[in-house]
Amino acid sequence: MSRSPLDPLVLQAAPFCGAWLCVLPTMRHDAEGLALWAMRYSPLVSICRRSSGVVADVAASAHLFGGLDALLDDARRQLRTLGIAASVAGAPTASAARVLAANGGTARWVGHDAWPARLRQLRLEQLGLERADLALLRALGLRSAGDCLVLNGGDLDRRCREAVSLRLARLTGSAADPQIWFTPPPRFDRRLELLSETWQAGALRFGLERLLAELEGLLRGRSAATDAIDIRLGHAPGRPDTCFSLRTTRPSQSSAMLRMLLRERLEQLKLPGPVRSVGLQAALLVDWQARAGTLWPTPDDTAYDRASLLDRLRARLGETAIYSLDTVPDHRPEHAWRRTHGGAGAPPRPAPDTAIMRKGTSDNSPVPNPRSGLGRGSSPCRGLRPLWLLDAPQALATIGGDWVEERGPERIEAGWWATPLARDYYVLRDTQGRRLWAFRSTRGDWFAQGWFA
Amino acid sequence: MDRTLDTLLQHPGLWRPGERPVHPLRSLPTRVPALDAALPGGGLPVGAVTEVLNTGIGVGELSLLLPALAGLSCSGSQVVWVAPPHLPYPPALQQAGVALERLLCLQPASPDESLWAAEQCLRSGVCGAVLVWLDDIDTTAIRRLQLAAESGDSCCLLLRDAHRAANASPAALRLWVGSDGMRRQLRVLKCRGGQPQDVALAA
Repeated sequence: MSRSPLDPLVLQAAPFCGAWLCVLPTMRHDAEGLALWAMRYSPLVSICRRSSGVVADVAASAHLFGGLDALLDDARRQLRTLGIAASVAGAPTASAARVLAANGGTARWVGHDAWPARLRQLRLEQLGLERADLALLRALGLRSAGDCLVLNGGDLDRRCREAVSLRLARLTGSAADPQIWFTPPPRFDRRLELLSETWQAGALRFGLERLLAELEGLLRGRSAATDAIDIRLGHAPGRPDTCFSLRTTRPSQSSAMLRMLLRERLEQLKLPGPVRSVGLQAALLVDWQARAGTLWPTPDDTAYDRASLLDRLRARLGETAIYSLDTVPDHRPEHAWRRTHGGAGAPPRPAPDTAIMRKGTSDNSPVPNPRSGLGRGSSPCRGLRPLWLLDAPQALATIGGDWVEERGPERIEAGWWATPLARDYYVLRDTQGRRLWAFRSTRGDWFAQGWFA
Repeated sequence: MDRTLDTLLQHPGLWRPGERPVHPLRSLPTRVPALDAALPGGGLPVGAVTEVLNTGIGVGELSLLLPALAGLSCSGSQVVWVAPPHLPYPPALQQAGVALERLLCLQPASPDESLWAAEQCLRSGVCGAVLVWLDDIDTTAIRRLQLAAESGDSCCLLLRDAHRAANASPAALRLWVGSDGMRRQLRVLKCRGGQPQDVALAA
């Protein structure tokens, strides 16, 4: 007969059992960074006071990673990629996970059923007891945790401090083990000192990717997203830092896109000197909801692909190299157009931390105006206009060629409210068949202003 | 035996010279009737590079492509111009029916960057057509564009100077645009699955 988890007997045996992941770095490592990283598995993360390791309560989130064993493997793989040497353990109580991690970690998750047997075999020195308690227990002739567990609470309590039996009760899960939860910062601002000065983009990327992994952990833990990060590369003291930012068109929780943009950017980067430290800052957009994956591509996906293409182009070519065009209702040719931001059609960037991103803000695709469909007569100007406009009118003599008038004139004037101009525009053609848009000024000089390509 | 051979000859991958391709080519109609009639798929090949060689700026190389681009942009497809030689003038584009919000212009700093940008756009699968102004481009680079166009199922239009016509090119279609002084001349120099020929354009 199987017992339900609410069965009083089960509850009495180990009422405080769950699933805890413990990561204990074998070399000195910043505990806050590790805690931020661990938030990718659960928002409930606690930093151990004695070692710089962290424990995370993953009972509720393990199924999202494909089970406890898969989660353990994932953590180990992540740490290896980030170059963090740490022992990883998974056990039913926080203390158990800590003890196992301190003793080399576990290859597989230690479940409720396997834990008591495992605990009994542990030597007293492995339990992390105070030195005085350890000496006393040794003097009593106890050698392993199993020996202590045989003595029921009363016996043990009479002989040594209450702390010992409490410690054992927490290990078995029969006593509550309250944790001081790690409070994540409202915005991400972290800095990492590099082991040595470097010029190499690869070494910088390694450091920055570690920070990106921490950022991703924070974002997942807080169910937030970000769409911009600021990167600061610190040089020798007295020298200004090299700063740049990366932007994605859409807020995202995953750092995959940012990592790709970072790679493009670092390849292009010219460093003024060797780098000593890397820093990363990001504002969080809270109340963000993830996009659900769909089987068939939707217009939303196309817009998403388009946005990520724009991000990539922007990261490598720079903001100014990408633009869209628009018309301006003005009869003066130079003023009848304007350059717009390359991501035209993208939703306006929400203000950090206040914006509420809703599912479906993905309306990235402006619906083509049906009236502009092959829109005859939708243009504000009536006359024939060239496809290429020269940056500035150019004296016709400098272009060369034998020009004859094909069409014209079209008079374009501007009065006192702007620079006064009066021009007669003509379409000119030369013997090679090239067609030029040129005007004659009031003084009779000819200027070319565009090509009919 | 004969029947086996017949079935083999019906294979869509098999093409015999002097014969229109059996399988329908995916194509982008140019909306220039004479040109569409001359091309085997009834338009510019999709998933391939089309080279447009022109004898000089202003002979009408771009207005030849505009109807196709207008159709693409109005159907919601992205059109990217990489390294145009001058400013594309929005009022004229609008007159030609191009949906400006679907047009993106890139002005990379170097030819290498242009090639990279064009490849990215072609591969992304969101661009209906990518126009690239790269005159000095070698065969390997064109082949790279070709592969990118194939993987993104996009149409790559490479605009170059007419004197490059003598160079060999792996492009699926090569068009030559020139002028006799009065009228625009159009020639198909090379065409996958078709014959080189002159195209008589309506005035």
